[in-house]
Amino acid sequence: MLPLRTTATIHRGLSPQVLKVCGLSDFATGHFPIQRQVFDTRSCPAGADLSELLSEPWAGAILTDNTRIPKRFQGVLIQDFSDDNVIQPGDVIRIAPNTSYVQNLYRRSAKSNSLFVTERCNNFCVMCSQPPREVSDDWRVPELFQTVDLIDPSLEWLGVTGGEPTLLGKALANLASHCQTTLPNTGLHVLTNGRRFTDSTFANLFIDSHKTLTWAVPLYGDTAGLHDFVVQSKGAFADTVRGLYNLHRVGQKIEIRIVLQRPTAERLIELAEFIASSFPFVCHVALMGLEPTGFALANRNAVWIDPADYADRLLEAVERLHTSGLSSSIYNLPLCVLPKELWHFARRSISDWKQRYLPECELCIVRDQCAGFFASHTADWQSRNIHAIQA
Amino acid sequence: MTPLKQMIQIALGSLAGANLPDEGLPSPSLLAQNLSKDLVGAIALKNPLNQGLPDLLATHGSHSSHSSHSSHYSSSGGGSYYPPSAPSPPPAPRAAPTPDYIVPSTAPAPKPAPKKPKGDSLKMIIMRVQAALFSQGYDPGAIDGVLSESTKSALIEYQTKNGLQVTGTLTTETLTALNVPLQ
Repeated sequence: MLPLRTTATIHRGLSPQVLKVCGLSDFATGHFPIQRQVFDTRSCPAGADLSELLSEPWAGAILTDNTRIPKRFQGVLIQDFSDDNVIQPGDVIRIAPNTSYVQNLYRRSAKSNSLFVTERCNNFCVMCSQPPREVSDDWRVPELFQTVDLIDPSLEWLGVTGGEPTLLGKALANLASHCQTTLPNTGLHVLTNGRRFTDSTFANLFIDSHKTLTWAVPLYGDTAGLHDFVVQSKGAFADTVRGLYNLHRVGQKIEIRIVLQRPTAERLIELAEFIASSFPFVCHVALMGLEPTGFALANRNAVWIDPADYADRLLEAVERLHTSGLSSSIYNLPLCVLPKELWHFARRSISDWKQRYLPECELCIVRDQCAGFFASHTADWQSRNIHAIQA
Repeated sequence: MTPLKQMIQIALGSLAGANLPDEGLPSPSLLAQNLSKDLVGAIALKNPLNQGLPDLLATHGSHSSHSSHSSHYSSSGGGSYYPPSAPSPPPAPRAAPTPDYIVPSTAPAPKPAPKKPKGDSLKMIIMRVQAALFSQGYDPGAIDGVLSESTKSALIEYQTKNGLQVTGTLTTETLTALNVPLQ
């Protein structure tokens, strides 16, 4: 579990910048312009003479105790990370004046990466793991374009998340097009409540904006009452349902996401049937274990349910979806709480920077295939069925 | 009349003729609004199905069946959820559309990252080769862009170990093997 930011001593960081960390072998390959990179001297053998190398117009350098910087070096100087592992060659970072934080925007070694596009949202889910704030954060938009410019083109999938990404309006379509041009081999996976797609003009913006874009849309119930309760917004269900049909009308690929919290889990089979009959065109259904963070903590009585108590319904729901020809996966749940029939639907889905195992997992023989637990996991959110699988 | 207008008229007609309870339904104009929105994406059949046949279902015209059953559930955050036990009262009016997120129109398009100059200088190419050699465990002496004796002998070592033509110079196959771009 590796955090996405750390602190460092930063000299001459005169403006906010999005930069690529360049190690020795990255420099050899020369994909990105020097002017957008900080050279990471930590990747060099000790005592190597870097004076000529550092005469090039780098945006900056990451120094070790022994690095000697040529006097004429003009870039930003970064050293003494509180955690050296958080920022590594290939990563994309943001630094800003008057703060010692170094934010990791893209981590080469991570199993998955996402662009965080806004803190704002037009829903207010009772279990939201990223509670929204009403802030003016359009400063993120140019940074997102710059980040995309510096991501390794070999990246298979890039997530887009927030808050609610469609609140960017046309800028989201522009960002998708920019990704298509700059990262043609990278698929996009955008988390959205889909509400803005009731507006056909908005939906039309995404026709042909990106060749491999999937929209992941949460649906929490087969009735407006249930869904609107979970997202704490009247009219959300109507908007999301219309949005789903409009997305389908403009040829977009859609995944439906279901967070397995109590009210939803109690009507899970009805929800599965609703999806199968009303949205047969979706390409995937993701059933997700609850993350005990953010608003979920404040609403534990409303949202917590022991996975042991919905395991049967989950099995039935997956079977109904499967019978209707819909593919589904189970995310964020450990294998020991799932019936064996569901194991091959389960994925190791929790982002590495917020994932961990428990002492109980020490001797488990399926640990390596198991999603494990969120970093935020506590005893209050622990199923009574957690146990190591042995033979 | 366009097929779209025909469809709207037929739907409204069936609404007007139906025996709908007076209390609690949203106004016909709101239903009509929703209807016309839904019909935007609909396919207009040449011969509308069931044209002229008597209605089997009284409420055929309503497309608002998915609206919120708001009166049952707490919206103050954290309240308990109770599944509906009886047919619900009227749907609430649709929420106003979320205002457009306004990106300042004068915001310049982000400056494209300066492109790598076409054709690195020879010095740069040698520096890249030296960096590649270092990263693979050889010692070219320095990363200075100079084809020094140390760099030459590191090249010879690399070429020998990797079955390349052993020249001590920057052959195309050596650059390719080291992943150093030529231009």
